[in-house]
Amino acid sequence: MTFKAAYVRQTLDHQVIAPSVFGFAALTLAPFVLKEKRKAIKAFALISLTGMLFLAIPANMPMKGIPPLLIYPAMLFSNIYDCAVRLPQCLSILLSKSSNAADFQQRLAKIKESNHLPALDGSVDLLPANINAVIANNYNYRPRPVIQSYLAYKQSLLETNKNYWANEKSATYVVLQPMTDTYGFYPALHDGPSWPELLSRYQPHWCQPTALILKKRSVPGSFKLIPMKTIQAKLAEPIKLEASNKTVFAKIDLKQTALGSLQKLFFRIYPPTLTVKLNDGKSESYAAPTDNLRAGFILSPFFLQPEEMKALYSTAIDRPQANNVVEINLSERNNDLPWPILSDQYTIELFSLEINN
Amino acid sequence: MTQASDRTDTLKQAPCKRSSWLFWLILCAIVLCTLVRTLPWIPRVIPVSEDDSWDLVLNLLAKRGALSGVDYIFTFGPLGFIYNKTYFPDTYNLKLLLQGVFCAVTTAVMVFQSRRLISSWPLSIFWIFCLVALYGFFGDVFFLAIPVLLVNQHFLLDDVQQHLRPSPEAILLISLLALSALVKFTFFVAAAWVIAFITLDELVKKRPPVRLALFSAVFLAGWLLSGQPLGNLPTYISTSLAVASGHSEAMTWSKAGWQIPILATIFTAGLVLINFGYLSLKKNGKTFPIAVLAESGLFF
Repeated sequence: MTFKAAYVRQTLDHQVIAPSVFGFAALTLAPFVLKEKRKAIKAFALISLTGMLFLAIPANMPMKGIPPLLIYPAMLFSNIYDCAVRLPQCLSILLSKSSNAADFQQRLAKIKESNHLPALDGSVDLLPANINAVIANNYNYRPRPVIQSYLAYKQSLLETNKNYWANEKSATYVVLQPMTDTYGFYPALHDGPSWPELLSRYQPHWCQPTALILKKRSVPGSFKLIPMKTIQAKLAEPIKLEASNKTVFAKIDLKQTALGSLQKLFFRIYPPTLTVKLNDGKSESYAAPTDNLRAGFILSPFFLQPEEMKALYSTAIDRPQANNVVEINLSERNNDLPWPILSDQYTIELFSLEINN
Repeated sequence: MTQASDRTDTLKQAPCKRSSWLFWLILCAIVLCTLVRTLPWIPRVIPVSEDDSWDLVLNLLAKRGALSGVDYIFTFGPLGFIYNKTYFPDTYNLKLLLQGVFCAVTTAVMVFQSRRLISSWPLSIFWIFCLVALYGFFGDVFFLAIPVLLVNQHFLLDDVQQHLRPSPEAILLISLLALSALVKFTFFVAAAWVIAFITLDELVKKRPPVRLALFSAVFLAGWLLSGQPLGNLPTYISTSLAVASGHSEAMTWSKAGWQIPILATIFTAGLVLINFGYLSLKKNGKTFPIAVLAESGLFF
């Protein structure tokens, strides 16, 4: 639990979890060891504690301007410093004189300013993830169950979100911000299976560079996935797609090796890289978790920005062809450990997505 | 075994040497200082917009009494809003109160344990001072300190064979553990793991599983008091499991030089586990692997 919490997303903010929990555990054992009579045991315990405080902690939480051996002592000093700094604030809160409420309103105003959105009179959901914009705009937030799209990375979670749109309680408005996130997913993989629902049940209401806002149709439309082609493909080999202005929905079945699955269970693996070549010659590379690929997503046209998402609502004839995907290539990122994590062969099922409104 | 019983006697005698009023005075002073040091008096804004978003939304959902696993699926449970140091007007006071309870009780247990283990007060205070430097540092250690202290309490301090009733420290820690399981699903897994091995230890020693009963009662009471219907519990667990099982591919991120922090941690954590294993062997004899498994689950 602690190991994976620290090292799956190995940022400075996360990797500190492991040595702080383990360091705490090492320190809790110190008084037990003090009672030991055997010097060898005491020496071993001292080595383990020193290693944790002066090796693992500095290795995981480097602090600018502080030598590694002084990092834990600096944390000890911060006990006193933090008490001194926080005491006035603590007293002001207890005496109801804190500026927290005013600071919070200022914070929301800043978020609102950086996410230019209109007033909306019904319930609102937002894709992919920056929900603080909903709070800052004081919208009536009514989220899909998995509230941020990057977290819907298992087929069951993607299905739960997909099924939500048919629910009469689903939000009246859906704010679609640019489909980017910290993890670099292929844009259409954010809630991939939900897109046919969004295209058939909602329609564009407002579009600016900050967001496309969809409004629920009074009479929901329907959609069909018409099978086009099944391709047996090999990892890292480019696959050309037929030139077409259709909306192409893909389901890609790419399996992990046994070692890859074990590595995922005990440590971490990187998602495959999906590289797409567009009709206008541009090439884009993104992370593509295997479950998201399997659950299905709009492969073509490529969309990222609000205008490009709005274009999905145009008829095939009216839509610009520049973003049509003409070639794809799935490959494995360099693994942390010396073995492949993905099977060499995979299957792509292509469907034509037809919306009937 | 002679060594083990000698050790238990020493631990029992230690508190008697302290004058009562001084103990309570020191306990109150330490708890107050730790509350000032640790609680979110100065709220923190998470710099990453996505993370700031879920943090704020957990507070909004708590205010609305939303149902975990049904209205929203996330890695946090019904008390998830108390995990971070964010300010949200409608939940801030409750967050301060609940974090305050967690912090005060956990710190009090550290003082109680030091009373049994360390005969000199300055040394006791220095030990707690060293612990608090890590304890107040990050949300996860604030909550995971509870199972760490509980494993030590159960396997290294308490005499389960002799006493049917858990010690006051164990009762406090088990209650906090059950409440922490409502904060984040990772803590639920950690709590379930530790309680499973403590229960196994009780059963091996032919004792009824009173600690499991206490944990279950507090967990269910906390679940109901936080406005969650009992029928939603299986859904919460199954959806949270789906979230927990997928993150080691989809959320993977690292930078150059990732190996050094991990290897340094694995190496030193291994030494700490060996150290714990030895102490546990000495106290528990042949049942020590149960204790090591309980501790190692927290590490993994």
